Formats: sequence, structure tokens, C-alpha cells
Amino acid sequence: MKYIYTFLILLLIPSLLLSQTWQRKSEVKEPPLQLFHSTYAYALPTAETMKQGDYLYGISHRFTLPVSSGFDQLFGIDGPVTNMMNFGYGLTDDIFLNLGRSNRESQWWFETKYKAIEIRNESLPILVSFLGGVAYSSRPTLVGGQELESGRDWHFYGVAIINTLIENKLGIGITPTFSYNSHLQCPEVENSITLGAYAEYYLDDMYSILIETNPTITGWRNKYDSYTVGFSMETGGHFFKFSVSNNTAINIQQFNAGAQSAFLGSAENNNLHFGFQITRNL
Amino acid sequence: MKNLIIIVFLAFISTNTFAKVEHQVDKSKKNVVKFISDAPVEDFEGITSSIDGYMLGEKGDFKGTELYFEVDLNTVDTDNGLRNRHMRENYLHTDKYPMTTFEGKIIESKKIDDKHYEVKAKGMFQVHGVSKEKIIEADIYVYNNIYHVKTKFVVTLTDHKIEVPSLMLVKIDPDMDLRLDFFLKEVSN
Repeated sequence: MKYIYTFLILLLIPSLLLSQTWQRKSEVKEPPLQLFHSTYAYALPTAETMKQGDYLYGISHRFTLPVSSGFDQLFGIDGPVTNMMNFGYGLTDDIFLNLGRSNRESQWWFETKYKAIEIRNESLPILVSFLGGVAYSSRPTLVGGQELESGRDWHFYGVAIINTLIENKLGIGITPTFSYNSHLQCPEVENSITLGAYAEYYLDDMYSILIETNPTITGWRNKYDSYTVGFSMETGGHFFKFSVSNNTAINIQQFNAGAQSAFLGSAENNNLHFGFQITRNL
Repeated sequence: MKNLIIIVFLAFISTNTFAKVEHQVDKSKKNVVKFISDAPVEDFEGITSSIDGYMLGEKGDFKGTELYFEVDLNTVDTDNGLRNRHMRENYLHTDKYPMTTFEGKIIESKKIDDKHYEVKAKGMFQVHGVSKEKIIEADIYVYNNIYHVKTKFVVTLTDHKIEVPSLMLVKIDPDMDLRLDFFLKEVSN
């Protein structure tokens, strides 16, 4: 009997060897926290950066003739136009570089955006980025016989960007911004502090409604605060953005100086400008 | 005493006859999992090395070997951050279904030479939370205690309730090629 037990125990040994010992060695990798889809709303930046090594190419137009010019001028699309091109690059997953050029004042600009804080909260995720930029107006438009003091053609700006996304549908961003040397037509250097804000509602995987505003809190401002409304279409690495705005500038430095006409108001002030932007992520 | 020796001998034989060896994915090797898609403008590939799993079977005979493999879909890189995000959020929904898995058994094994075997495995392939029975053919190369596995097969996205993605508004081919090239090493139990 003793031998039988021994035999049975020994016979069990192989069955002990039948089961595997494998266990998952690492946790499932969490992808980066991404809230808005695009790196910019219209003119204002979102907290998004690009994947390391990715490129971005953008072309933006804002037509200086207002929509109210009617069909004869194809609602302003006949032009002239404020034209901007930009070329972005993901230096790292968290650092985004962007070089641009606007035909307004033949301005070159260069920005660096750094994604600093990610808060993964199910109901209120938050991304915080910081952007620093420098712009150079290589062919400034001056009024009358105004002469620029040395260095006045350089502009500097810094933006803190706070974004959230509610229910994967409604993105909200605020962008407190400081601009040094806001506008060349000021007799002396004037600075501005603005509190930009935007909201984007994602209707589905492709379409979203996007609104943007940039009220000036203190410092110099053109006649009005800026407002832009429109929609965005996203497909195959492209963003197409269609909008109307009371500000014909598109890049941050010039957009920050405020708008020339009211967004909604008296007929003569109600000059909305059609805008079209396309970006390609490569 | 004589009986005891016989019993121990028989048990020893049975242990070695039925003992199974386990091989686990060797993370230190260059493992490659590729998802290849025919797109209207350009083909694109998603690549990851994040495969894990095991094979458990008798030494020298792959038939009957149990196997399980999983790939972390959050790590698949299509060489474009925006496309990665579209893939994760719009199509694979990796927040809910982060892994694609295959669990099954080798049902056929053909020895080509001392180091090379052609096998067929039957099991459940799961992606996007939807499992489907699949027979997958693979080549296994045996180097001492290392298995080198190469396989390719087709996954039809609609079989797994994955919406067929579009590029520039044109749908891509719903059949996606999967190619795997990875290594397992023997572990001692």
C-alpha cells in the first residue's frame, strides 16, 4: 500500500509540470494624454504637442475684405488676404517647435511649446503647456512718416495653456498671454495681457465646432477684442478649419493685438472676415 | 526494496516522458509585430515589439503545444502621432480593449529539418473585444533553448466589429496583414 501511495505521488509530479508559469511582466502601456486634436485652435495654441519626429505644415488665410462685401467680391474671398505658413516639428513628445511667416508686416515668428503637466482624471483631465515665442516684423507697415526705433521690429510673447476635455466631447482651453511690443503703430513699446479662451465640441470623429476669443485684460489693444467662430474637419492627418473672425491676423503675436472691427455691432463695424486653415501632420 | 526501485524508475520515466517545457517571449530579443494595411494613397504599417506570452509543450514535439500570446495595442506606432491616436481612439478603442490575444494549441507539426518546423495552431484570436476562431500557420526555428517564431496571417477588421478606417475620405482595405517575428526562451519551472 505504501508503495502505491509513493507511486501515485511520483506520478503527480509530471502533472505539476503541466501548468505554465507565465505572467504578464509589465502593465499595459498608457498612451500620452491628448485632449484637443490639433496643436492650435485657430490662432491660439492648444496644449498639444506632436510625437517626436513628426512634422506639421500649415497654410492659413484670413481675407481682409469682409464677408459683408457680398457676392460681387465672393464674400471677401476675392482678397486681398492675410496669408500665413508654418512648419512645426516634434523635437520630443513634449517639445514642439514651430516656425512661421505671415505676409502681414512680412513677419517671421518662432515658437517653442512645452507640455509640462498631465493630470489624468477621468471626469476632468488637464493638460498644461507653456509657449514662448519671438516675432520679427521684417517689413513693418507704418502710418505717416513714423520711424521705428531700433529694436521695435522685434516682439516677444509667452502663453500658459490650460486644456481640459469633458466627456470626450467638449474641449475647453484658456490661454493667458503676455505680449511685449504688441503693435508697431504704437508710438512707443506697449505690452498687452490677454486671456484667450476657446471651446471645441467634437460632433463625431471628423467634425467639430470651434469658437475662440481673446479679450485683453490690460495693456494695449486694437479697437475690439477678437472672436472667431467656425468648424473643423479632420481626416487622414489633415485639419481643415473654416471660420469667420473680426480679426484678420492669424499668428499669435498679431492676433493678440486685438481686432479692427466689432464682431457683432453696428452695420459699419460688423465686419467679419472669412478664414480658411489647413494643416497636414506628417 | 526491489519494488520501490521499479516504482521510482517508472515514475522517473513517466516524468520525463510527459514533462512539459515552457517557453516565454524573450523581451531582450528584437521582437517585431507588424500591422500592414493597403491604403488608397499609401500603404501604412503599425509596428510594435510589445508581444508577450508563452508556449507550453513536450520537448521535441510541437503537436499539442499550448500557446498564448498578447500584443499591447497602445504601443503600435504607425510613424505618425495623429494616426496613432486615430487608430487607438476611433477604431481599436484601446482604452477598453488594450490587448489583442491569441490562445490555442498546435494541431499540426511538420519537421522540415533539425531546426525548422512548420506548424498549424488553432485557437481564438481576439481583438477589439471580439474573439474569432482562427487557424494560423507558423515557422518555428529551434536553437537550443530558444524558439524563433515567424508567422503572417490576415485579420478582417469587420469580423471584429472594427470600423474600417478611411484616409482622405477613402476607406482602406478591411483585410489587414499581421506579421510576427519573435523569440521565446525556455524557462525552468
